[in-house]
Amino acid sequence: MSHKVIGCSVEQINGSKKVTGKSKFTDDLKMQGMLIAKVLRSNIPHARIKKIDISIAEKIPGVIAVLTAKDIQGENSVGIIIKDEPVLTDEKIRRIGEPIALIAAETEEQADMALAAIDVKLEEIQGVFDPEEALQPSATLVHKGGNLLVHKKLRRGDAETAFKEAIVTAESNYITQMVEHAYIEPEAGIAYCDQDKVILLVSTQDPHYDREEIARVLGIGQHKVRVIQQPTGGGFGGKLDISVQCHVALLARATGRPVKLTYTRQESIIASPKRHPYKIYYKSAAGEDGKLLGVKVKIICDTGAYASYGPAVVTRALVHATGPYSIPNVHVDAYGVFTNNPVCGAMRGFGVPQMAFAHESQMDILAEKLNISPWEIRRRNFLTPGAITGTGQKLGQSVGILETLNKVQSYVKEQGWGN
Amino acid sequence: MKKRGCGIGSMWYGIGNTGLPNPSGAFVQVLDDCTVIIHTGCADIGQGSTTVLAQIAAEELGVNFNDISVICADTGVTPDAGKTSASRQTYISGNAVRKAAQSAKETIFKKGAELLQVPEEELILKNYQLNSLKNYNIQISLKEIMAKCREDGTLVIGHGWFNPQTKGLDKRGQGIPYATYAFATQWVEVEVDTETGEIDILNVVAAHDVGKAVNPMAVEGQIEGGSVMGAGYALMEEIILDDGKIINSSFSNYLIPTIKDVPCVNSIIVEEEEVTGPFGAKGVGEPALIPTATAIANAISNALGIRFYELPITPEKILNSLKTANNTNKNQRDF
Amino acid sequence: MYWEKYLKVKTLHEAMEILKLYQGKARLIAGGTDLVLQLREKKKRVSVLVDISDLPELQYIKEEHGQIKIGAMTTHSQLAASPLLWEKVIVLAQAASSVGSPQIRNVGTVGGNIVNAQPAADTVVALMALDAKVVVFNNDGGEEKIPFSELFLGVGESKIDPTSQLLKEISFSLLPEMRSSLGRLARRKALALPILNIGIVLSVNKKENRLHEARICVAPVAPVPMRMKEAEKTLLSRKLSDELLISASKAAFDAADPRNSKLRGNTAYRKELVRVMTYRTLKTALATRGGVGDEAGSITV
Repeated sequence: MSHKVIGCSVEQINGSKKVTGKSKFTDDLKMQGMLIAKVLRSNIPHARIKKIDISIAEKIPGVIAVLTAKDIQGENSVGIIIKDEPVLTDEKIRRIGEPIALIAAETEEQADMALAAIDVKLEEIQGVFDPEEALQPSATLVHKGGNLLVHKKLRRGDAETAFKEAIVTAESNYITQMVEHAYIEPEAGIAYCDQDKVILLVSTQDPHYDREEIARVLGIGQHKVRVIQQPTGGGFGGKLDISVQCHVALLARATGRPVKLTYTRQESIIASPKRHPYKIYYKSAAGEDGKLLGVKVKIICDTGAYASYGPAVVTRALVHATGPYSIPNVHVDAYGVFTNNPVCGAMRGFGVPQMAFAHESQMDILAEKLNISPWEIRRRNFLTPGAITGTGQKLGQSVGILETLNKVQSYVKEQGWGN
Repeated sequence: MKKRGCGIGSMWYGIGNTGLPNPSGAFVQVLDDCTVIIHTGCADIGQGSTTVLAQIAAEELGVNFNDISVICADTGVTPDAGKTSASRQTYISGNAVRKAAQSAKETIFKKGAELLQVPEEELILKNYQLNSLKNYNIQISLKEIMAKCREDGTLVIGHGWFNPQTKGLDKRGQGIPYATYAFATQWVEVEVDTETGEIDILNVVAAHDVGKAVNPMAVEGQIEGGSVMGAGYALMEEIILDDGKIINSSFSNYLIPTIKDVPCVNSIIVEEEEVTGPFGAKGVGEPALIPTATAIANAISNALGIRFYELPITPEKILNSLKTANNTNKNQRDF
Repeated sequence: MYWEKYLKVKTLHEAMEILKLYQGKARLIAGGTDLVLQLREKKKRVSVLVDISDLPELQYIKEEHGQIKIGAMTTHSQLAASPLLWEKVIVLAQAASSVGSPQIRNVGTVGGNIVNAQPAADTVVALMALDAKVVVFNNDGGEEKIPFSELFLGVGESKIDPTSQLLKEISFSLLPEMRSSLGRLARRKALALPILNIGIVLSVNKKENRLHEARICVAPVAPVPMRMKEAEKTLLSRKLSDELLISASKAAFDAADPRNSKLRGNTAYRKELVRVMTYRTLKTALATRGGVGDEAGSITV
């Protein structure tokens, strides 16, 4: 079927505005009477809060509001999957960067002065920073319910037998690091009230989720909250969680004035969720013909202090552990673990880049042992239409993996690259 | 001494949430002058969903791309389209917009059939014109239909929503987690300086099965950007922690690749059309990044004969491994 | 803001008068690429900033009687675009080209780079190897000359006090048959602080195939940029040969004592880089031409 518009590289809507610097991002916006917000954050990873004294901060000229947990009328929690993260904490601190108090002031300097004037008395608790240590029975608990956020299993066929029948096996452990999204625009939002409604202008990946959380935290109906996404300078998964949304909404309701909160780059890096670091224990078994017989995988994901997208990242890692290969016997255990590290959440790839590092290294190791080329071992094992995946799904059409490999190989050959 | 090597990375990636509902909704209204407004909750964060959704509506309604206007991501006026995540917006919101356009089209067809006195099934809408497939002389302009609709008080508004067909995973992880998958293979050639551990990426070839490229240049943009992000993941990006404290919380010490650190990315678009996708489309946002780091790691191993099990592969780790392996290829000068 | 007043002066004299008037509360600002960040991060505090970046009398690159003289407010971009430097003092041209990004090079100045005294500042490493001197004005009207070897006291600390003194000029002598080069390693290819910077300046005696003079400056391997005296001595000790370069690199390796750093790498790795990069930079330097009285023809190593 021939298309008129599909398949055409039409110019991006708003593309020229962006590349010429004309787009107005949230921080570029100013409103009449707008206040500047700042967040007081913990600088130690694990502690109990004994006392928060805001009396001096409140008296600083230009400071219009200082809010703590007790000022929250709705629920003091957010979270995409599990509502386990306080909007403002007054009990326990589980990570560096945890929000404790909010300031709205006429100027940034006044807000900064007020931040410095808040007195927080803490009782430090020993932190836990390694996910495997966190799973030990003696480990300090990050959350009451234990440090295991989730354990997901994938079982297909009989992996043990596959390893017994294998001609070659490969067993390796892989470690991946925590990384930052590094979107060009740090988190930013403005909230203001219009009669009984709260309006948000914000850099976000999902205004409808923001609306749900803001309404719950404010204790009002979702119909009283309107979230309008502003031109957003990248997200890569890092703008799925709540950042500034509830904070500016609370301050706008408390002051009756528009309130803006823009993170500094440092605050953005400290406060936003990261890519999960993984420890992956990977065993592969293959037959003489180079076909994969089975894999046995254990994955430990450090989700940091709160769940965020952790459970979904763990599940995606579980499903994608096999790589794009047809493997009859699959045994995967994936664990998401709480620690006092920065929160890890969604980031472009959602747990799969980590798994790809492991399964693709394994393929090369097996190829070497079998004395076949890295191209060939993949070709022999790729998923095809009609193949069954590790989750028992029978694939239909649109399985182009072999085609991608063939295209790459011919391109490389044409260019005369490589060895 | 400089050593070269190449490596492959292949990947698959399920489009949408894993075995969970993740619907998207859209409204499409055709105006009296035959221009079109789309309302979608889909947040464009730079990846280009607004453009792609406009293209899908334009194709479905047979109107020009420039006659489409998109209002997006405003909870006051747009329906929920779910998150801009999981590489799902082209596939899921694309389907929602297409269905909304189809629902608006139904009104146009109904009115056209009535005016032309032919059955609806016989009609085709293209270039602002409704034609009979059987007899091309039987035709009416879209503008005329819109005028007739206005006359008798009919509004041409469609709504649509789409939720991918999945089945939640059971306790043994069995089920249908995704309705469709994107696939890719990338190939990377590197050059490693065995005395300083520095790594140069010489060439990247990246082939991605995206189902159907709605906007090929946007797809290439995703592949190029993703490869660069993957190169950073492989070679330099790392949040360094000291008891939960990030010690590199600025862009002067958290380094991502600059334009000087990445080569030209040779993108190849593979189109294995997905029948449930809008015009066959799947997704590419995340797949773009996934195979790059592992292809680089495999290329380095190929160059040095040493495997690396930990990311990022920094020059320091390269030198340490070379030392440990007491690699005979190391510079023979004894110094 | 992070300051109360920002004054842009029209003359050198005016700048000095203001410093005198505010008695330590005013501070000179050049390009501000480091200072503004330090003020924002509250690492430094100031009431009045006195902007001297536009004074034409502080912006020049000239050769006079075998000396190169550079006005302190010359920007990195200007240094990097100077045919004179590329012809005669490659190490400095390379160093200026290595600073930050084009935007930073356009506003950052060589004087600012010196006064700010970061341990691996690119132009400082080159100027140390060039055995440069600075001319400093005091607010009492006096003037003093300080050699680079005495200029730096610690990380971020130089002898020049920008609340009472103004760095006016940097100068150094061109050597006969001067060869020079900068060796630089960083975690990425642009806009990154160096893991290692090596500035090398040599004066060769082609007839005898040996060196008249050798200067090697390495940073950051100590709180201030460091001259590798043993390595320099080694280079002068005998005729040029590959073995000589290897011995000198080994001497630099022995002298370097960088600390373990989570960001820059551990000691063993950084020491190894000193050896490799000293050798490589010596090789590159010997392949260049520059200074005064240079004749065509290369030297054999």
